[in-house]
Amino acid sequence: MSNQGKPEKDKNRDRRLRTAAEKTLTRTPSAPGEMTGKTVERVLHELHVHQVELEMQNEELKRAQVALEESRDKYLDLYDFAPVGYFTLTRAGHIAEVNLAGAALLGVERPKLVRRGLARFVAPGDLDRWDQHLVSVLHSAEKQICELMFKREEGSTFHAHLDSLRLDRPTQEAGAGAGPVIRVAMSDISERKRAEEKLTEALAQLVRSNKELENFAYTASHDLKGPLITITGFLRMLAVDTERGNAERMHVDMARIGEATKKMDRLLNDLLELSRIGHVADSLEDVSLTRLAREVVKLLAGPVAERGVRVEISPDLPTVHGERARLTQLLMNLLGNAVKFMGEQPNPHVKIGVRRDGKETVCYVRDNGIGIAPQHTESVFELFRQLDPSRGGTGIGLIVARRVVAAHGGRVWIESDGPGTGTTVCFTLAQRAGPVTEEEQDNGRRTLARVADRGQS
Amino acid sequence: MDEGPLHVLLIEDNPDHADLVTFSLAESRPKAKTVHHVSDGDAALDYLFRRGSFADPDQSPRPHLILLDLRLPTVEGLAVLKEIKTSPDGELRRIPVVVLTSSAADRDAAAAYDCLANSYVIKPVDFEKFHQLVAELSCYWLVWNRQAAYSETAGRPVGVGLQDGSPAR
Repeated sequence: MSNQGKPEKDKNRDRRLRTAAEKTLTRTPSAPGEMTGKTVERVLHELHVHQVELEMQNEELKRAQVALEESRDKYLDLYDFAPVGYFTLTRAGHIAEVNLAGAALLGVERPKLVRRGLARFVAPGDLDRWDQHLVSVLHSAEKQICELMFKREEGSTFHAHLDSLRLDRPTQEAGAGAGPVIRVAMSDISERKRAEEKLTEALAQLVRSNKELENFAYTASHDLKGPLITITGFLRMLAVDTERGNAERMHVDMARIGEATKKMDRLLNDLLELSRIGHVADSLEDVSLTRLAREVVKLLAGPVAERGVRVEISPDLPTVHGERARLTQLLMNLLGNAVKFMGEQPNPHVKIGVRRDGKETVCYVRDNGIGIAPQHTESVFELFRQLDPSRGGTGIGLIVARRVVAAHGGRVWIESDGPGTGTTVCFTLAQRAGPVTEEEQDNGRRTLARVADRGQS
Repeated sequence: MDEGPLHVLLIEDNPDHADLVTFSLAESRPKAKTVHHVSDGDAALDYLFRRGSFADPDQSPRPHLILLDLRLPTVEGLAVLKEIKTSPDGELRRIPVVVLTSSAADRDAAAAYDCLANSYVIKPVDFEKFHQLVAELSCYWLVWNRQAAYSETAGRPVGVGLQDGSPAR
């Protein structure tokens, strides 16, 4: 910035100064006529010197003013474009001054903010805490900090961190009046809060799965002990029967021991199978559940025909993006259970269907079999839990189903009006619409063949 | 009074374990015993409260001793134990209950004793110790039963279990 910057203004000022100076001169008492020629010359010289001095002083002042203006602009820029919102509040919490960042945080133009209470932008649930903060700031000479939820006029919210300090110097800041003011620095910590919440959630999840694992190990060890106890028990019986020479009983004892080892083997295989489900899938693909259900009915053709069960498959089951082999396992377990727990039903019927629950697409396998009491609809998902151990199996089908569904981002649960009313097993899966390609169908057939082989081995 | 046979209610879902316990009982004193076996908690409560198919007191007499597995289908063993030990029926409450379980976990034993189990036996059962336990519990019952027969104001029985009150192992 140079002196030529404001020439008109400067000229006017010079002119005014000159007029004032001449007026002053005419009022001076000394008459020029009394002066000698020498004196006049000397006075004139003095005046010239003064004039030059004044002009130099004037230049100096102008430069100082420019520097001040530059400095002011710089700090105004720093103030306005700081990454945090700065507020100057009256002791009643009204906004006296705010920087641009502060206005942007609240989503209101700056002129419209002045003289409004900052409390207007505090989320209703946090108003009490804001009041407490204001009181503590006013009663303390120390900086006070606070985290609050703010709500913009258009309704969106953000988490803010406030650093507030009372300033006792009565200032001329616009609208602040006399008395102490409060300086508040406000930063948006929504991102950090979100990260914190995610961390908390992840931690809770970890605690849950740790607990699950603990329960799992407890149940697994308990159930694996079963056959061992049988083996130990019948070995003792065998010793007694050998001593007594009871050959018939000895054979029975040995047969029981043999059965128990087979049972142990089945339990261990099931545990191994279960442990594999959590692993990352080798290939994910779009799977049409309608087509998959038809294939599964073919795989279970034996038991289905033996029991004379009519299986109805809805044509509009969703297409899900997932692991075909696992989804096959899921439907096989659910359909297998439906057929297995049909009871004395004269018209056995299973429907594999879909319904909308609000925004959720819920698939279900519904049978008209023996049903289940409400107090057991959750416990049957536990490892090796069987309500009726005489029905064979090891009690692993539903926990497998739950793990498969969880791996596909869904939930599985049982609905039943109690014994005798049939059972509906419902599940949700993260789904993706889209046509199923020929190639995928071929892949599917190969996977199914593998599953079928495994089932028979 | 007619002492009759000792009635034992065995609540055990594993058929192999039930057979082993039944065989073992056959070897223990007193010889005359009837074992009533149910395989889940629901059936156990039906038996004890004489409901459904257990309504006939001749077919399903009140047991003198209850052997209870903890992990059962339907109603869990601990829930059955609580039902027995908090029953308003004093005679039912006083039936000695031996928990028979494959769990050696301290928390399970503590939970069982908290629910007033009379003894806690970890499977596989040591035959001799088991016989001793059954003999003592049944003797105790017979004594108590005679007292009850002589006087309707039968005194509250003292702790039932081994001599020193420690859990049988």
